[in-house]
Amino acid sequence: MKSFKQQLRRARVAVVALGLIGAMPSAFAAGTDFGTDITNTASVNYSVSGVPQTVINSSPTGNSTPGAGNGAPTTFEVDKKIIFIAEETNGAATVTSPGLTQVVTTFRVTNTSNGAEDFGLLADNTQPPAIIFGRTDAFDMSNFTYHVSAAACSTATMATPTFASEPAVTHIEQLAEDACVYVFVRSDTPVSPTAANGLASTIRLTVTATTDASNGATPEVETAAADNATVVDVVFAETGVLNGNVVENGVSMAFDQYFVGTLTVTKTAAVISDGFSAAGQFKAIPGAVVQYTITVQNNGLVTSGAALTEVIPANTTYVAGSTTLNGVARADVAGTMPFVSGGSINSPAAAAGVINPGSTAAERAVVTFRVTIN
Amino acid sequence: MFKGSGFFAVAAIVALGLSSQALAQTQGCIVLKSVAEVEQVSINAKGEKTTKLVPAGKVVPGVEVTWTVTANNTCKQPSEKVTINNAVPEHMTYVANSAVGPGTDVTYSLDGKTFGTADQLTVQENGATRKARADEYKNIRWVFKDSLQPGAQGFARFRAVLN
Repeated sequence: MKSFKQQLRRARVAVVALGLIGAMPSAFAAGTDFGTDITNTASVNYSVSGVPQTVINSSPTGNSTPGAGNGAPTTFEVDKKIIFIAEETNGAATVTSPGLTQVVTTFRVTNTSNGAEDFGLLADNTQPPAIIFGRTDAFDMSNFTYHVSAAACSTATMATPTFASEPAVTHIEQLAEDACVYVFVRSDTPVSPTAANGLASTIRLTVTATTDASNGATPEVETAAADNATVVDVVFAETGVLNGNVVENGVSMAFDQYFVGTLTVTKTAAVISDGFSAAGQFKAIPGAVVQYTITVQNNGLVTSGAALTEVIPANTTYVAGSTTLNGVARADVAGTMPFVSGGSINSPAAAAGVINPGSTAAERAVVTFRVTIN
Repeated sequence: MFKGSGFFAVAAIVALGLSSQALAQTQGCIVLKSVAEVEQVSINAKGEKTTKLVPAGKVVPGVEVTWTVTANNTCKQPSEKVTINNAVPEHMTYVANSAVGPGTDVTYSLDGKTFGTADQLTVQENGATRKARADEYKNIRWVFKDSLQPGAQGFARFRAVLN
């Protein structure tokens, strides 16, 4: 009859103080790298007629030669599990103007395959299943080029770096596992009226997993069902965004948009006195004073060199010294309204010719002048 | 001379005995084989899902591999106290309760030295003792309760997931 102490000793078989064993085995999020050989050898101990025999190791086909140095490991190679995603970075269109070339949109490509991978890049005017950023596509961009940003890329935080004149490329070369890069797509805006104020163009970037050494030309092909334990096969496991993407086909698509913003001008006229009527009742009769208000709004990119040319309407006479820009008197030029010969305009508190984008009083350039009806 | 030929005969017999002894040690009594397989799911003609084990080929992280060890006794005598040992392969994680072997007692080890059942293995963590998890097992051992008879096959299997 074993003592309680003896029984207890037997039960406490293995209490191992473990430091790191509780942690997950060290591996990238994507798993064991492709090309790694997984090996396994079993061993058997036995006795014959009470005599312990030399250990025998296993082999893939069966081994009976005893000894630790005999037998052979059973092995297979880890295959490529390709997972990656292309994403637009900032949920907003890039503002452009008619005829502007090499305008930048930005995407991020993240590789979570179990190894480094090449990716081919192709942009075109193919549309997503639904409009993006609330705007329908109205024209095409042209002359697409691709540039990989030199800015650091974090898979945890999305950012939109600034294009820094990185050279054009055809593909992303060996993007490391669990890493990302920002890709700039540049393209040209058509001229007016194809591209006009308020119109948008949506473009698509297609990112394709491609074979190493093909410089983005040859797409990876998912290996057919037949197994091959000695060659790295390919499995597509990318999911991607539901924007027309087909999952698990080695391709990820993302969409971005260009939005045309130009200057828009509105002009109003108001009779401000006629010599007879009460306020609010003024009529456009000879002798009446009319004030014109011209409002210039920038819906696109900040301007330089903005200038306004205005004519004095027929059958009216300019009221000398009546012109203002943003509420500040603007001196007559050559004895008449200064904008007859063209003059620079600007946002309040901005330099001459600079109209900042925006629709509030802080950005709009407002010119007023008065005439009397002849 | 008569004396001379007798000496020669004895030397020949001794030489034969030595070489037959050497032959007996080049092969053990067990042929041990290890295969790696994955489950392949297919739809049969009736539209039913069937699974079968096929050689491990397209294995990517997350795939479960079935390792099967077979031990065949090729001698005329029984193999006694047959014990199969298998370390959990590097880059793989043992699947809990997947170790099987008809007629065996299965134990595990966290360090390759001390073996115990799933209930016996414990771990010290943050000053407390807890039961070891299956994903912490490093080795598996199958002890055959009965001797393996001549011509008979012993069978051991477990599953592990590729990290």
